[in-house]
Amino acid sequence: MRPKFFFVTAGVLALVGAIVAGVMLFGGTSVRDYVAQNYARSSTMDRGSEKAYTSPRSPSETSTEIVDAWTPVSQYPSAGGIFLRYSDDMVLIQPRSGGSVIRVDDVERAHRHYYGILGGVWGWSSGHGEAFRGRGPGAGK
Amino acid sequence: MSYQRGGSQPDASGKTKALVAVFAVLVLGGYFVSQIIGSFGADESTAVENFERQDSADLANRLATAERAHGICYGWQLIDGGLNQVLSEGSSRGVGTDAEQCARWVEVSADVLYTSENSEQEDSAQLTVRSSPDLLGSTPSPQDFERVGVTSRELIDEPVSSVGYAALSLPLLLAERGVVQPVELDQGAASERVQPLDEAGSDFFGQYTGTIIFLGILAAAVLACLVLGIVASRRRKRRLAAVPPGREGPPPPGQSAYWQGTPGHGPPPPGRGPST
Repeated sequence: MRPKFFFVTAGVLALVGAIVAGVMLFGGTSVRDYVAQNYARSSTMDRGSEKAYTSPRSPSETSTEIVDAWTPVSQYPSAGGIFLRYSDDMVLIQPRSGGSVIRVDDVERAHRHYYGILGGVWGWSSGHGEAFRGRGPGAGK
Repeated sequence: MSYQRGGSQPDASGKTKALVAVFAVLVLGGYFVSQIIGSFGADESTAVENFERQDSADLANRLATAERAHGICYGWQLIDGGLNQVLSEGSSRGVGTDAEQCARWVEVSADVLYTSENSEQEDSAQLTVRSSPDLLGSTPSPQDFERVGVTSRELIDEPVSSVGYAALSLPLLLAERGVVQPVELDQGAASERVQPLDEAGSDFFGQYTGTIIFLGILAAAVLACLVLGIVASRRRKRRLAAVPPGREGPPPPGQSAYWQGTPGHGPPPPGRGPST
């Protein structure tokens, strides 16, 4: 085969790769990027190092949107909000006047901050917290 | 010649058949061995996993916080559908204490049925919510629970975790429906010894594993094409360099045999083409 065939094929494949990589990176490289791109920023509601965003939808609906886009390591539904754990970030979704406020923070800092909720048997550090991701291992048939 | 070729055919055919037979034996043998090994490792038990004492005690404590805020008792129940037996129940009033003893109450109940491997019936799980009359119509639906990750599949796979998280999500789901006010998060516990989080890997690589593998394969293909292109280009240059002057380029129409170097024919004398 002629050299030109190989060079043209390499060029076409590189172009396809560049488009796929571009689409992948455009969606953000973390859940933090996803939240920043898809929800309204509300800096007045920031709390310490937590960045706040708002959603017109309920916490469970907002949580579903985020979980569908970025699968968490684990999640914990507390009486005050839904905690999503990611490798580097924490996302907390709380109810607020018919909608939600979404708080994003460093996962380690959030773990220390909310340890009263996220510690213990049902928290992030427990066997339940690790296993419960909405997609547990197949124990049944 | 024809005899030799004819004679070698049965041998080749025989070898092929033998190879196919060996391959088939290996495949079938491997399948049966894997089935036998799989049957040893399979969990034949149809018993539903139950709460540890610590699990249920901590769950009751967490629900008690919500009860203090809302004045509603929150409860749970886990039932083994095969045995038709309540494995675990409790509420914000304590392990083993029914939520119904309160004036206002909500209880989530999971009925999980595991069937044996031989049964044609599939494993199943059902989540139901019961409540005091004043809360009827305001209780969460199965879709509400699915949004917080408690699905039928999850109930089958992780009954304890699922019913626990379903109970823990009751106060939030009632707040979403406007029945109660959201609970303020207690951020305290500074005095408590914080247990470090385990390593969780990379979100990005976890999220895009398939795409990253695809891009890797694509990059390898691009590299291979470039190498092949360079090699082909060098070969072409060497070939052109080896051709004596005056023989480059394609043959004129109708003179392909001559220009391709037909045996017994030399290059045309200057000023003379082949006779037509």
